[in-house]
Amino acid sequence: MSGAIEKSAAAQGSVEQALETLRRDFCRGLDERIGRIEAARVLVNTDTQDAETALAVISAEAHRISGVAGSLGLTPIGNRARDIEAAIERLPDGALTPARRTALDAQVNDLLDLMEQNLLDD
Amino acid sequence: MRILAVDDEQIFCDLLTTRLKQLGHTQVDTVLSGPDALEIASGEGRAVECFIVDIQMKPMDGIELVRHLRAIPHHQATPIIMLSALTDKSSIDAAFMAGANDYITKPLDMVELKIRLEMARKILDERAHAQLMHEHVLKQEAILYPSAKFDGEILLDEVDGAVSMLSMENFLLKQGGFRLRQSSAIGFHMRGAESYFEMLDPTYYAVLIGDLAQAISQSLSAFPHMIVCPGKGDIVALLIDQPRVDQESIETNLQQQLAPLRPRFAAIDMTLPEISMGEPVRTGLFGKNGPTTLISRARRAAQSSNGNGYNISFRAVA
Repeated sequence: MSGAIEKSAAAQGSVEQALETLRRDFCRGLDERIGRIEAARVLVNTDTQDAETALAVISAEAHRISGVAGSLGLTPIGNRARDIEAAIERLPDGALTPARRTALDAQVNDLLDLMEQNLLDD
Repeated sequence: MRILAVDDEQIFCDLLTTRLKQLGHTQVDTVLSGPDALEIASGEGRAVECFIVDIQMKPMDGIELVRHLRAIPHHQATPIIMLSALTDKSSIDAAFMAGANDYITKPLDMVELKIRLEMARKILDERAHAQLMHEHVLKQEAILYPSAKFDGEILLDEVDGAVSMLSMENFLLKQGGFRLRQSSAIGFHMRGAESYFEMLDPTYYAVLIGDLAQAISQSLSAFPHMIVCPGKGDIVALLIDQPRVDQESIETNLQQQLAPLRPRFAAIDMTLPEISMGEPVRTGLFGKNGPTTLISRARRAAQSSNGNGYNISFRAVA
């Protein structure tokens, strides 16, 4: 009986170890994601012609981050990313008013701050 | 169970593999795109027994991938579980209509993952059973198959919106109360189905039901819908996000869709069966009934006689 328990604990330990490795890999790759979001954010705030494409980039990036971060236990990042994706989804077509732009920018800024706090060096 | 997971995020693929391994699934492959998944699925290597597919991918999204997978003959009934964000509600509907069996939301929850994989295993077992029956029928050269049941479900091939009962129930179970009330179910019943079942062998009977289901599906093509054949000559269509439907236009459409079947039946000295259509049913405002109840109510509405509530029956016009 104790052998089975030990085996199960070892398996659990190995899963936790694998998850920790994935978490670290994800955090190491955050700088690239931050770069992509920052670049798109600049376009959303300055260039109205490319704003729609840039919004789609932010939405896609937020979608990917929310799925992975949430699943890796990085819940605050996952939740912020999910909220941004939902906010962009709710935007009526071509209706990125100054007020909406400001509100969205604040959300994106919060997410970027959180991501920076979780950055890991290579 | 051999699983192929498709997600364009490598870390998520690795995470999924770890979690699946934790649940005892060691035969897991992952790919990062739809085309890569199709290459494996259509190949002659190890047969995939369950697909886990992310909805939002590029260039081929998960819904398109499901359509392609269902077009591969040996994957017409392979369980497909979609991965989606909670914000993907409309995509989830589209995935079910394309042929997906179930979905898991991201972030990944272990309990949910376990339950969905058990569901996939159940579908796989049903498929194995159906395959055995099919092989037996072939061996008997379409001689009456003694254990084929008149009241058993008929799985439809090549009918738009066709799903298994399990998938339809699963879809309904996953709808919130409000959304569930926005959908309606319509039952259709083939009059004298049992006589046709006795007269034909089960294979031909299934073909007949499939033809009728196809006509019904085409008559409902204006609405997002799913369709099942639960047995006893019944066909049930679930109209998604359609609380009110124009019954007259459905009847007219169905008349038109049934018309071409008439000469086909005449050619084999048979009369086209009479089809009765029941009143659309919905889940009431305070209803706590499950999905099975909604489907059963639709069946009862179609089976009821003309003198008992709304019911219309018709034959194809000449």
